Amino acid sequence: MSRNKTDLLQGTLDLLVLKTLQTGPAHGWDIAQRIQQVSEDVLQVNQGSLYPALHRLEDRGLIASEWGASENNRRAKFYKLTAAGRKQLQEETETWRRFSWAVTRVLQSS
Amino acid sequence: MLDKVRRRLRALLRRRAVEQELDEELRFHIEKEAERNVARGMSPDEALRVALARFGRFDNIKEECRDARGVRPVEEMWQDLRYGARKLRKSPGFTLVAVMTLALGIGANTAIFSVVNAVLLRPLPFDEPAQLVRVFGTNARRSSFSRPHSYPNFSDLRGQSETFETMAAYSSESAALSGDEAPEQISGVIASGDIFRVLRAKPLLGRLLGAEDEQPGRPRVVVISHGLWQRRFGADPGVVGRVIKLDGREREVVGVTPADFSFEFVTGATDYWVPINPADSLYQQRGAIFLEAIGRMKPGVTVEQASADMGVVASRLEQQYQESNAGIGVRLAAAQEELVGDVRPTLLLLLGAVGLVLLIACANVANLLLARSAGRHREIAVRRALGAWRGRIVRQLLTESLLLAIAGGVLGLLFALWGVKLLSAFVPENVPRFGETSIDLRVLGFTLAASLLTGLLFGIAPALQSSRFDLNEALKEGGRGGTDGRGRTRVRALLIVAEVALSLVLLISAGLLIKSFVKLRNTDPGFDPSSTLTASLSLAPVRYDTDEKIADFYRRLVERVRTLPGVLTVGAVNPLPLGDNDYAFAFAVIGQPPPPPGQRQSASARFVSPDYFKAQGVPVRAGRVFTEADKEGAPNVMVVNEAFARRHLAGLDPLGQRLRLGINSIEAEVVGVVGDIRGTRLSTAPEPEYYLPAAAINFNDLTLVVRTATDPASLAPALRQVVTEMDKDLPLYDVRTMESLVARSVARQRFSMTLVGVFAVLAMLLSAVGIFSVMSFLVAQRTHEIGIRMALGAQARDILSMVIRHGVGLTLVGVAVGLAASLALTRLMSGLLYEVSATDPFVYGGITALLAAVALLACYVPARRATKVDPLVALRYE
Repeated sequence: MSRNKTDLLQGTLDLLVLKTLQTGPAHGWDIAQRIQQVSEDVLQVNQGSLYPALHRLEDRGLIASEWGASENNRRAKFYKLTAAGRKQLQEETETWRRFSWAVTRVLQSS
Repeated sequence: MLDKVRRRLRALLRRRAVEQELDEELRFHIEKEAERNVARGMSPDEALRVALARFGRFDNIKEECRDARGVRPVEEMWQDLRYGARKLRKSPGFTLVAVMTLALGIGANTAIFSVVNAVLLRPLPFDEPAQLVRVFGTNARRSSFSRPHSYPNFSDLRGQSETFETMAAYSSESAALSGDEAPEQISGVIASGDIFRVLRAKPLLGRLLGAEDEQPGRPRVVVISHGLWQRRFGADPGVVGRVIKLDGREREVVGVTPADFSFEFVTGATDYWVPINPADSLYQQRGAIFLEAIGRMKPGVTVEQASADMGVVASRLEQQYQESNAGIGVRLAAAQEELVGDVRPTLLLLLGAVGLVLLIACANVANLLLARSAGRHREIAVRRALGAWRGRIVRQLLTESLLLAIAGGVLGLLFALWGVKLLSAFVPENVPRFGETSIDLRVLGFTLAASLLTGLLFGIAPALQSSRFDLNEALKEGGRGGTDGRGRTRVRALLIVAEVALSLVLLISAGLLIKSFVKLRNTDPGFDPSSTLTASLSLAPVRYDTDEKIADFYRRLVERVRTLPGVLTVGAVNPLPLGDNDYAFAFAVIGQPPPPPGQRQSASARFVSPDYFKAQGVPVRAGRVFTEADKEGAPNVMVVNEAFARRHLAGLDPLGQRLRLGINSIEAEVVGVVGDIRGTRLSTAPEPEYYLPAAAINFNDLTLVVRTATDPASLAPALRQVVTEMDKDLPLYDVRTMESLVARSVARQRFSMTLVGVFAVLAMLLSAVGIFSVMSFLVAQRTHEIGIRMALGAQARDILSMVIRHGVGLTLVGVAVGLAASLALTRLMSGLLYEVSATDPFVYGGITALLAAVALLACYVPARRATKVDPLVALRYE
């Protein structure tokens, strides 16, 4: 594994999925692509854990799914944020900011 | 939340569709990935391969996605259920026996519980029943006596109470309903106007009684019951406003009570309700005590607070009316408790007994499961080897037990429906609220809980046993055709011990009840109940308004009945021994120092015709009984029983003593002494009683006592005929043989004895089957060993005694445990026993011998089979 690619922590993937869906509905492959693109390939989504994560989020009611047509008119399962998901995203983003700020502080201290 | 439920339900019920979607979703991902790879310049094959490799293991991902649906435990349970059901279907014999055993146990429990539920648990069918209390009078001198109230006293209690919303007085009565149809004696309640406000009842038609009906000078009204309305008035919706004749007196029907309204505070059904008329002289004397009282406490008031409040009023009355109220207090009791408290011990005894039967049934099924699991070693070993953890196997086996238990519960519910019908056929008539018995939600809940608990109870030990072994041993044992593990033998031994102990407790309880019932039935009531018919009459005071008319009617009636074929002697009495009434009157022995106020002596009185003693078979001990000459105007005479003479005339010659009697303040001379009778209940020792000539008092109500030479019941039609000929509006009622009254007075004891007896026999049979099957199983398991022993020269006798010793050893341990438990438990039922000690050595010894004999027999048959083992066959058996 290359040193500049980082595996995602459990839970972090959930946050990233929610964030990605904030811009609009997407299917699983799209979500993985977007995360990778936006992070400039630093974050590699383990495709094996993406789908269980999606199903878990759906079971928790944070996202909802719907079958629709993809760009080239194939049937695909699209996910979108629910109201609960939007709220969760806000809270988790806040938590993450505090966390990373704290970690940064610790790392910067001599 | 609703979305989640919908999604999970879909995952469970549309499993295939959900799986397909998952496949499609993942496939779409791979295809997209491959497309991208192609776009990056790979060949299609290469692109797909890379996409798949990057994706990871398909099956694992799908498993994780399934986990994410959150329905995994349910799915596994469903799997277990289907697997269990398949297993049970494959051994129908085992399943049938187990389910039937459980259905018997659960069914009997459900039936008894449904009665307990109706009688003890369900609140009374009135609005806010917890606020209803009965108000009794007490007498400082007779602690256990619940004293009725006089109307003036009741009015004071009602008027001065601060804790009651309202209070009502009532008394049961009966009246002849005459009209176009044959006259009928119907029973009713005469009550103060507020009675329906206390009960918060609503009318079905018209109106119910109200406080205004209790005022003097109001028109005569009557409220009729739903039952009477249907029976006598053809459910005529226009009945309100009709005028009916009760005891020859016209009353206007003002209302009908609803079908589900019943007033259980008086015995028997209530057909009509009439208001008290306070202008009646009977309602103006503080000494005329015959009213019961029931009240509704204000919201939030407790029985204790109301008691304190009433106590204050009672002591104020004591001060105010020294002569009548000295020593008179009040006692309050929650209405429900007061109504059913009496039958509680009997019902709890039955519930306990039937619970023991279920435990024994559990032990038997556990035993069957153990035997069965011996044959499933290999199946379980294979599943363990394939990686099923122990908990998973225990869960699967328990699911099987629960399936059995629930099947047993469902069938048991059917048994219970039938059982309740059977019970109602012979439940004593004086068990209150029995008619309300039904299978309601609480009973269903009980059955479900009983089934689940039962399933756990009989399933847990075998399941733990079966799942616990290491693979090596299982394979070794399996290779030999499955000898029993040590642990399992221990569980079996424990089951036998438990079964024997439990059935011994039940059998001893039944034995005690039977012995006490036999004693009760052999008790001499003091009169001869055989060949005696009794029938009651009430002469309507409107038409029989003078003493002459009453006396004349009864004289002519007795003469005519005497001439009927088969009649030996005709007497008349009021009240009838073992009947529904009892009159106690005060008296004072003249010449003795008068007792302090409030401590007046009183005793039960009966008013009788001259031939009564002969007809009833009450022996005369001294002096004479009444003659035709002892009537109104003649010198007043009385007869006392021996208990009276002993208690109240101790040290005196009873004959010639003069007493002043509370009734009409007459003075009478004792002219005779007769034998004691058990007049209220067969189980109650004779009380002091005295007799007065009916002709001197001229009661409107009398009960004929007819001694016959033939079957007494066959006389009833002729008796009715005579009465109809003499007065076509006069009903003859409560036509019963004296034998049936005796039987009625012990009906409750008979009921509990029969039921506990049936349960005990059931328990014994179940245990015998249990012992038999365990011993048979053990013998089958040891065939190999027995074969070797016989090959080495053991005799049949040795084998027989070896097997029997084992069984008898276990039985004896069970007996010891059972005896200890019985000694502890039967004490609780001593209140239900009659002249039998709860530790009666005869019962304990006899029952123990009986159970030991049955156990021995259950061991003997398998032991005999063991001796028939052919060593050659047994050794080849391997």
